[in-house]
Amino acid sequence: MSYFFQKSFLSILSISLVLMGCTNSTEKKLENFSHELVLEGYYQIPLDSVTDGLPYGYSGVFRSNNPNDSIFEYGKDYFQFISNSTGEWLVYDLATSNNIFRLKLTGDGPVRFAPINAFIPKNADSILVLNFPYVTLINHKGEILKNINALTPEKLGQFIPQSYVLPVWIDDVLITGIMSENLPPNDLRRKVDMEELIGAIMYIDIITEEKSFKHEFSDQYLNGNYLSTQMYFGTLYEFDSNATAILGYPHSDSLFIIEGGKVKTQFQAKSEFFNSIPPITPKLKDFDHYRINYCYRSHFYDAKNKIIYRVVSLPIAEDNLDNPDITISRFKNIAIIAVNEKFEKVAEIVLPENFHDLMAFVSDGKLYLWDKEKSFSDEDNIHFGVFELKDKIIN
Amino acid sequence: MVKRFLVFNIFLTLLCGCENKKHDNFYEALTQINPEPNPPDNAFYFIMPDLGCSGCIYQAMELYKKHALREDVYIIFTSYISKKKLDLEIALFPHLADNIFFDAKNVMVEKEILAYYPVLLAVEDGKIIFMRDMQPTDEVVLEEFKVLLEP
Repeated sequence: MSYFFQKSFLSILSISLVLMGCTNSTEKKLENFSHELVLEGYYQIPLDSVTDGLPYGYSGVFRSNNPNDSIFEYGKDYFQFISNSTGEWLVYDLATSNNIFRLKLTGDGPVRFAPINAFIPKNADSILVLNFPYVTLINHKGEILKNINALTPEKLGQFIPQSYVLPVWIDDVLITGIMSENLPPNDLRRKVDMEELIGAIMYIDIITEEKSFKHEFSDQYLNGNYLSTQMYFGTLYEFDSNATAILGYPHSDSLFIIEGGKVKTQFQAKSEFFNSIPPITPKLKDFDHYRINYCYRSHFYDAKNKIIYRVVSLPIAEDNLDNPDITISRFKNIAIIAVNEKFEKVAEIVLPENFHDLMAFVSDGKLYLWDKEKSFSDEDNIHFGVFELKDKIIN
Repeated sequence: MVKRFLVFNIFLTLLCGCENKKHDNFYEALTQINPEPNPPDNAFYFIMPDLGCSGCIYQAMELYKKHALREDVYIIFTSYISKKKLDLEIALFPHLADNIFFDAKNVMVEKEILAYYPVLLAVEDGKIIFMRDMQPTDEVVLEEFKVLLEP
């Protein structure tokens, strides 16, 4: 064996040992947490023959806030999504899986919205539709009650076209992440200033129509270390009371409890898998940078058990980026971090590759995660795995 | 001077190599989707992912709809994940089949033509003169394509 090959062999062996060491130490760390996420069962929503089960922009669970609601029972959980194929808003009773309501929203329906970036019902007569650049308040008949233009002269930004980036509607204020037109800059050599990093989250008062931008993107970008577009999306979820929300960013180890436009509490919800995300380079396509790296995605709050679940998006192997099987080349596998009411991390679990957060929600202390494998092999139903966080039994 | 000239030539060769690869990949993929022996010398293609940036797909679809009845405008639906949705869409468009292609095997993805965003592509005299991803924050791509489409 030549010197060159001996040296290469030794280098590869050393790198492999280091990698194995890292993997083993991460696995060990995961084992040390006090809780685990246990698959307790499966749940399914039936679909008719003209409805496909991939959501158009938004899906989730809602509960009517009106005791005299004309359609939805007060205090009951409903699963909802907008069908990609029919453009209908479909609502199902979560307890029975029965479809109890449908409203055509795109195409030739009573109202024509497209694209729908997000959809938030509060009750049958109070439903917010985000369809850039408008925020529209409608009722269950599709009648438009208010139409607010979200474009502002001082800030350029769009609503985020992703199903897992959820806005919240707290009191009369819509709070939503926006996609900045400046980040990352087209020319990656350009340095942004602090001014450009302010305003990651848009606040729109539905009554007064007042708009404002609050919260900052990370100041790490001042150094010119840019990430792909998807890494800048601020994600939100309602927290304990109606006045607070949890804010997270794909690149940030922290989560933030926000109230009235200000950060009330900041805490760590860090994955064991990565410490930082390498910056994008001019040679790498934006979407490829997102796919080959770790990052955080959505988060959910289980009010019954006072647990925050944070989704960690795992990398796709570079060999699979052009795989014509879209389930491999588009869907990043996920891990779930669980944080308790003292903001302590109690679990991090890598989920089997069939579970994904394209559709995910919490109801009655259980985390529902879309089962893509079952949903694609049986397209007349949407399938979910139902998970519960449990104390780890140590033998 | 000679060194500079050589570097410039190498750069040009590499650039041409990339362009040729794109060209070949597109036509290889197109042949697999539509076995028509003679693709048109002048054409506009909207290559649309089924699963991708919904806002971008909407914007591209709005432009396509304005020109859908033109003989030189084609649309290729690709990046399919749902067989049910593919079947529903094929059933919707049988009368327009001449200019609408369904890439059921996702060859456009395999050949690296499309990843997540719609791709707008223009062919003039048999050569690809425009081929860009339509990203949500990049209005310029749509405007430049419009100029070619609506001179």
